[in-house]
Amino acid sequence: MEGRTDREEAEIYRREAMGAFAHEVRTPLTSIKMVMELARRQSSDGQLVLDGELAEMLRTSVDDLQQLADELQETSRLERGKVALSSGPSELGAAIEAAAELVAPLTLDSSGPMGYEGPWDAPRLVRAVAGFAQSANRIGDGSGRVRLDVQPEGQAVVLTFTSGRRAGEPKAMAADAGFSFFRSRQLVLAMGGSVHCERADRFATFRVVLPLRREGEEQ
Amino acid sequence: MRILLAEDERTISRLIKQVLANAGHEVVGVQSAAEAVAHLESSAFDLVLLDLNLADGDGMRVVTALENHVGPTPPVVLMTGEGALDQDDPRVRRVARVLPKPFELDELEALVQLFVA
Repeated sequence: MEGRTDREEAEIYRREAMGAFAHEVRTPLTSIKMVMELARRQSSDGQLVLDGELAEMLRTSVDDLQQLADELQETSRLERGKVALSSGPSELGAAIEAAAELVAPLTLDSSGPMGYEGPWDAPRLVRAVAGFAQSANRIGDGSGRVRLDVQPEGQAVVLTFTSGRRAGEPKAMAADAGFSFFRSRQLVLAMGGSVHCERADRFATFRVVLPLRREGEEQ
Repeated sequence: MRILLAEDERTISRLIKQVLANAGHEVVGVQSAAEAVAHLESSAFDLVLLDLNLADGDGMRVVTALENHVGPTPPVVLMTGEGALDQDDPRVRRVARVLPKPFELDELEALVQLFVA
């Protein structure tokens, strides 16, 4: 997104996030519609009947819908600076390990030094790492395997998520990255970091910079 | 009809299996593209119901695998919440039908019926 102001870039990301949300909300909606129709069919007189199994399916789908709504709300509040994040310290290695468990069966192959502690909100860092891994796979080669390289860079640590092989000239854009990408990006920005995304045909790489110290804190 | 259902959303998968089994079809459910490809390589199916966004990646991998498949290949119905698919993608042209999410059970049943020989 070279040449664009931060405001223009934020607006592009916001539009993409809304589109991604509209897409992802369709999955629990599909379940709810199907459960309601099955329940109606099970009734002989046209009344709605929910047996135990259908009721459980409905509950799960409503929970998924609730979670998506909560994530949208949190993303919006983060953008407006209305969420107070914990400033840690938390361990990067533990966060990556927890995120890898969260995204299974997708495999997160991590490499590089992991022994960093930083001023990061631990549970949100886990969700951010998981979200980037899922999104990289989604807009990369879709192989179910994402590489994560960790390297120090000055007063920060850089996490590079990569899916697929670089071919041709990648573009700096995150269209179709899914709602989890935008939520993860917002979390990293709120932690004082930055995110850069490049993608090409069946290739995606996210460069996520996490500060090792709070703003104004001396070494 | 023998149907391969690749859908990682457990609730949707269970519901589709229930509805299609009630209609007399045999449904084999898988949750990942890798499992779907493995089943297609080892067994014969009359139809594939494929979610675009599977847990281990892009459902289009399954379409690619079918393109390289030796012998008769089953038609593919793509289930997706995507607003628009890339019509320039040759794999999209290989897809017989697209079923947009959220869909009605009647739509699913009618679509499957189209492929009953």
